[in-house]
Amino acid sequence: MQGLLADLGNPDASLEKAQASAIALAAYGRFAVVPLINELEAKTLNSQVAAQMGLHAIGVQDHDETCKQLTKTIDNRTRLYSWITHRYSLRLLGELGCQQAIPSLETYKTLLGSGTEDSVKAYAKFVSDGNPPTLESVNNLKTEIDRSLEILRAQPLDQCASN
Amino acid sequence: MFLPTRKSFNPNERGNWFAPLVILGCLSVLTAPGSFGINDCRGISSVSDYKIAVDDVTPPPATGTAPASTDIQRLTAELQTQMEGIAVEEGGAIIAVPCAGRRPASELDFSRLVVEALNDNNVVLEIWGSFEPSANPATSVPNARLQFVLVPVRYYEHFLNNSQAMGGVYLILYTPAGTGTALALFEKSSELRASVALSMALKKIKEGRNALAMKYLCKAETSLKQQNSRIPKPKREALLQYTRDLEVLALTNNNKTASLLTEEAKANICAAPVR
Repeated sequence: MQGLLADLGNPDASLEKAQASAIALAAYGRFAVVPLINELEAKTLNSQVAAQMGLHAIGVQDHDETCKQLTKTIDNRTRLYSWITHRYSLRLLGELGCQQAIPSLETYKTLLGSGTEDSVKAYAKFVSDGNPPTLESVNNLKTEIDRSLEILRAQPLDQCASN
Repeated sequence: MFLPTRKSFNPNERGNWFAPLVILGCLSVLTAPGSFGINDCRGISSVSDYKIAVDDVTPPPATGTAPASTDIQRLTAELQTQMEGIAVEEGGAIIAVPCAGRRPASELDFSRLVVEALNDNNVVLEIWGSFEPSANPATSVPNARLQFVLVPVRYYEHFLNNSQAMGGVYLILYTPAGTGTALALFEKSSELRASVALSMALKKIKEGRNALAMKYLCKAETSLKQQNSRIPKPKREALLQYTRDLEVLALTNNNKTASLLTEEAKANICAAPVR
């Protein structure tokens, strides 16, 4: 697992290699969820893209744990994660059918505010400093939340129960 | 961090890990050694500024008369210099980031997820050069190509708005017929200035900074209208039309009447300082 994580985060690795490492990590199931979420925060773009693929794979197999950890990620307000990591998490919560995340998604949308300069600044206090959010990022986050909520609310009840 | 132990793996839970292993097996076939893949660019996510990603120049396949490796290095350095020149003109608003080892094969490397990651990290343009064997059997000298992606345009127009006309990827082909060298392809070009300005304009509109977006659009339009532009005419006209569409959008967002935009009024807007 350590070797795969090193491969995933290797800045010299091609996207294909990073994706192969992420999918291999997914074979570890729930144990790989948190490391893959951390890779969303990585300094290499290939790792970010590949980690999403890995979380997709685990989310199908170990749905509850993946949903739980992704929900914890978007609920975090201590600047542990960047808005980009939150964006990927917001998307995955919808695509993985994480019904229990609906309240967190709604709360996050409120956090994003009304789209004024001040509201963007207020939101920036909850995410890490590296790549500060702009109005563009905030609008993209809102679109991501709306899409996820639409997916989750459209799920048939029996599918929700099985999740 | 939880590390799996032998105890923590229950063989009865095979379903939890078996399927990803099968996927891995399939993927490993697809990513056989030697397959071409887009490498990362280290400098992209370490700074939050707007960026131009400058990739390596790719040598041609080992057939025909290949340019010397020093020529390849010279072209890569020239490309980097040109991009740094544009960055300086923008007064520090944009930086050129060298992406050593990154060699996109085609626009297919710029999938939605890749372009989204680039856009989220404020990359406005990615550019790379390459050589390909000449289509003319009479010559063994390879053709030089320059390709670039207008990252925000590809993301918002091609992927989010499903626009086929605005793919956001452009190619300038240099056929070494007549005089000149491949270096000419990489020299100061109006199309690259236009591309950077157009991408910046779209970013500024998305950020709600419409007056600044107008300044970039003025610059883009002026550069696109220059006669020496080497973007093929249909694509250049599509870019010009897109620039005008963005001008209308920026003015409308800024509560100005776009329908009354005469050439004279536009010239005044372009000449006015941004507050």
